Amino acid sequence: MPILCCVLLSGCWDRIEINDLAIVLATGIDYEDGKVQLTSQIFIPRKASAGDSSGSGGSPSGVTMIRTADGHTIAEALNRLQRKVPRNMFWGHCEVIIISEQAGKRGIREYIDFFLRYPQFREHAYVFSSERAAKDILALLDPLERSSAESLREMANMKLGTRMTALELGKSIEGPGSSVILSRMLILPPEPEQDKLTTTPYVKGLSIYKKDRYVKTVKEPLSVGVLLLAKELNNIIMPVEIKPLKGSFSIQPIEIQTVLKPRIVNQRWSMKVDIQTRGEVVLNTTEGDLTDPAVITKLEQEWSAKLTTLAHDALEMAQKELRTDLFKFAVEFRRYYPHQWKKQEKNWETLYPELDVEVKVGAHVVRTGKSTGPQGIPDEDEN
Amino acid sequence: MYGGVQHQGTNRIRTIHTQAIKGEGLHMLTDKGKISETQLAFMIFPAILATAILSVPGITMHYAGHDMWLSPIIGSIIGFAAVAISIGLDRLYPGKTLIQSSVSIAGRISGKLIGLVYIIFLPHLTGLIIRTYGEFIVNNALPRTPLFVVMGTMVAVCALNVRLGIEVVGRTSQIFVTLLIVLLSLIFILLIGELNPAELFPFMENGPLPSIKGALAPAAWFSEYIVIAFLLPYVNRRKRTTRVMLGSLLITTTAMTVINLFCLFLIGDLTDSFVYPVMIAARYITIADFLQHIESLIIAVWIFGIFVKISVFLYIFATSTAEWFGLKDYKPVVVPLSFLCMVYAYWVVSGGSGASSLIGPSANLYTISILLILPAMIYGLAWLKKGWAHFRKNQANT
Repeated sequence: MPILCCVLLSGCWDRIEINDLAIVLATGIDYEDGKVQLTSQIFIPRKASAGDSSGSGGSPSGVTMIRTADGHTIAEALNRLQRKVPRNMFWGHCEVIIISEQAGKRGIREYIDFFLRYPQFREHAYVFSSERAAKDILALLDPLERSSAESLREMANMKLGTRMTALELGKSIEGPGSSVILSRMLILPPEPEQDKLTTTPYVKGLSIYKKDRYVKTVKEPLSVGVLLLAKELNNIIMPVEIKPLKGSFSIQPIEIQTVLKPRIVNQRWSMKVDIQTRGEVVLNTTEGDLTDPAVITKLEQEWSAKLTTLAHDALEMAQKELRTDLFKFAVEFRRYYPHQWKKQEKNWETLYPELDVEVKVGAHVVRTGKSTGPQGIPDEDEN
Repeated sequence: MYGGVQHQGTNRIRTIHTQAIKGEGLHMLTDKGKISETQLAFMIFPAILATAILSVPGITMHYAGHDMWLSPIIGSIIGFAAVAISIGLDRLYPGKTLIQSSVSIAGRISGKLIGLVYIIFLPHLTGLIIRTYGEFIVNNALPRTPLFVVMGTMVAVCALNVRLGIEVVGRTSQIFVTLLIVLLSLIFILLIGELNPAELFPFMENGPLPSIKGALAPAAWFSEYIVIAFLLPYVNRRKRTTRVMLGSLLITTTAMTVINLFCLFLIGDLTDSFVYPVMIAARYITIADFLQHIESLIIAVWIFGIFVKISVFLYIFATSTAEWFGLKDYKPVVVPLSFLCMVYAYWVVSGGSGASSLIGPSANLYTISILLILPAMIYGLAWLKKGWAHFRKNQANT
């Protein structure tokens, strides 16, 4: 019996030594000349020798490398990619997927099917969009983290843009809204003396996809409104002005809660968006004193007004310009009015732009930082 | 003097014992081992759940949509019926398995015929289970390993387990199922951050009918509770059996409902587009950047569950065959029968498309009819017989 076990174990079909694995950390999808280009960022294991990569980001540390292959379909590209790599490609650690806008214009349905079908891919991989080619971002050698894939993942964890996993991407596109919002990544210009690859990708703006095709890039301040309504706004400091004071207050929201309440009254479909937020003042360039409750009340009013404007602008763009349900209104209608939804489901494309949306904002300033009155005013006399 | 009293005592006990055995008729159990009720409950839990975890969320989502979590609750009615029938049969014919009591109830020839139905059905079911297990492992964990190796190694170990007796099966199940429950709860606890409870709505989008249609699949799994009818004679008799069995039913229903809920909250409408939604859920866990990729651990734990399930069904098959043929001991039959189950595992699916018909509605009806309706008929007959005998006794007394 032990001999039999030994015989069986030695012929284990699925054993692959770790030395024979090429661990892919991130994937990029581009589209060029009618072919899908798949780029993989592969981890290079290095022995931790003495004096490991000294000098703050001097020469590239060479922790990752990229390999690209193209093909008519993404599966064909995957196959061709393996031929360029001497080890078995292992996609199980692929934490980040970047889709370039060029590839997005053609439609990402094929890629979604691939990511949700091929057994090795993780459904929790974060999906980003990139303005230029995805492989440029993957080629970066991030000085702070071990790889640009890791820095992208950390940024997604911190919710700097939208946090969209492959599974959620599938759900968004297949759901009644048929749209998705992805964070758009650009490349930070490198320091002049350093190698041009030693830099970091950063989030700037959003890419909007309608029915699995890329349609629009949205930048600030419109992107703030879009994120606000999509319940993904996490990292923003917004300036609010109070007339007649000169200057502005900058408020950092601590918590933003957006609740969508659908309503159907007498065949009229409407949606009420209720935004509740609490914020902290981080900068005061006016002469107003924040210990004065009147100032705080006025500030809250102006802040609510600003948020309302942002929300309305975003809605305007989604409803009138793009005619796309970006904020999953359809899902809410389906949840609370299933019978009416079933009847009107086919007409959602025409219903959505005519939807009455009412935005109500409740903003509260809860903290004013370490200081009370305005600081740093020259020649301020205390008498 | 002391010795004399003791000798007398044991003599009396011995005579009572032989009388008891003789009183049960010529049929004896082919296995002398005994298990406790909790061990039986531990054996039944994975016997239902191990493969239900794989297929049930997908099927119930397909039929019932967002109400898929109701389907196991509706299906548990069948489970309740199965438990009731098994315990009822045990009360009427204590110490006899279903095969033996069907002979007593329906007469020699039809009783043997009923036993034959089970002997033909059980390898089919066991082969199905083995095949499901093999396909799962090959699809998810070991793509290049031949199916034969995966299934063969499991069947070999289970055959060994079964050959050693019901006590061994019971004890291994106690250990493994504890692990299974702990680690299964772990996945669900780790997933709590990613869930979206709003997916519960729309509630009853198309009325109650879809969840009832979806309940057919869990009902087929719940009807496997009839294995109790085959195993109750081995249990150390105590008064708590009914309560323990009903408790086990409750736990299984809760487990299935929770699994459905988690799949619904996490994956939402896409649940039926995945072959193994629970696997997707396990792969989705990533906490603090270090607790990731634990799906291999999940697969390893789940293999324990499948091991218990295949052992239980193989045991029932072996003992039923031995009893049907009137053998004294079931042990020699185990190895050939396990080989037969392996062969059935290949016969079960005749191609790629067969895999989905395995869990289609016709398969579920087939399972329910043999595992529930047939025993129900047997029980009904037994009840009538006892009622008739009682009636005649009353008539004779008056």
